[in-house]
Amino acid sequence: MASLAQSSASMGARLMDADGSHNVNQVIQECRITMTQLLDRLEQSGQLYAKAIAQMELVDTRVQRVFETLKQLDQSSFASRLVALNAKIEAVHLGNLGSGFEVVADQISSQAHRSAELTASVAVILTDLTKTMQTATSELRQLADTDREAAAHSRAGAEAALENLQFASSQMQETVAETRRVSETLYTEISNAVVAMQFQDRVSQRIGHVIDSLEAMNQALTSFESAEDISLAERKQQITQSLASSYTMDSERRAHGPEMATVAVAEELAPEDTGDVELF
Amino acid sequence: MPKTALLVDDSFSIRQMLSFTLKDAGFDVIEGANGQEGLTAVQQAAKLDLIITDLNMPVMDGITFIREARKLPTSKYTPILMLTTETQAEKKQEGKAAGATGWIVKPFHPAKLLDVIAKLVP
Repeated sequence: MASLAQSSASMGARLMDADGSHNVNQVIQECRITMTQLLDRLEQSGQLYAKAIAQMELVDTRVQRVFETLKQLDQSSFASRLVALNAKIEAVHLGNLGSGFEVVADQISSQAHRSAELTASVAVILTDLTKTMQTATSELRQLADTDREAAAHSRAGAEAALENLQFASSQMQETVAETRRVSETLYTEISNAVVAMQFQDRVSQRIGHVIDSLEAMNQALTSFESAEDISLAERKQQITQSLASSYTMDSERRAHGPEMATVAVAEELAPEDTGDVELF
Repeated sequence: MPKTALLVDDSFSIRQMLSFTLKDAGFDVIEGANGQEGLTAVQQAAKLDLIITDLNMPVMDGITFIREARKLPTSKYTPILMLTTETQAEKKQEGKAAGATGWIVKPFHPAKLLDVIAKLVP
């Protein structure tokens, strides 16, 4: 759990840049720029479609004028044929004198007929061309409309998604920061608890030593009752040595008597001095 | 493959605390409540990467345990740390002579212990 707490803390730190700005925010900003560029290009394409459609409509208008001209040409051919027919009738009335004139009338009639055929042929081609252009214009307009709607829809959707992402990112960063604070507190508390347990163990050991000492003292006093030849000073020394052999902490030795301590008072196990390490 | 540590201490709470700290650092942990149990654990273990032992324990003390453990192939070259409340220089020398790798005075912060372990068991 302690390492988990440390990992959470370092993970939170990784999500933050050294200057405090957030990596996720930068990514969102880059996404927004890229998306805006794409949508702008899409809108530019739409504008090009509109220009192309306008040009095609202009061509269609001009083709309609060509139709009108062809119509006039056809009327002119028809008039020429009528003129040729009348000339031929007049030539017949003149007999041999009008034979040359009749040939000319036939030629005019033939050319007028040919002109009418060509006009009709051009009209058919222009009609096909007009239909093709109208179909292309209609499809292009439909495509432009679809693209424009899609671009507008995409822009709104992407903006909403980025807003949501930014909101989620901001919440996540707050959560991470809070988790980091909690983890750091937790890690400190766990460490303190571990140290506290060791103090508890020290106290338990000391209590155990006190009990052992009391038992040893009791045994010594009992044995001295029957040994009257031993002086009081010798008895005290024997008891003291017996007790000292059971001590493991310098604080215990000092409690018994300053002369038994192995470390100076100032050096002995102040809280900040605990945990001394020595590698051999 | 996880590293294996043997903890030898007569205090259940200390064993629990050390076990928690070492498992958190990625170790597999086996335990013994005194030197004798520690020796049995050494004999039964396939490999040991670290041994942490208390000094004053019933049945068999830490110094004797280290001396005996150094005779066994599994723990001949394994780092052995002594964790103790004892501050006497003679005891420290005795531990060193028995084959201890290092000496840490209780109480200590877990992070400090892990720093030492990282040096001994890279």
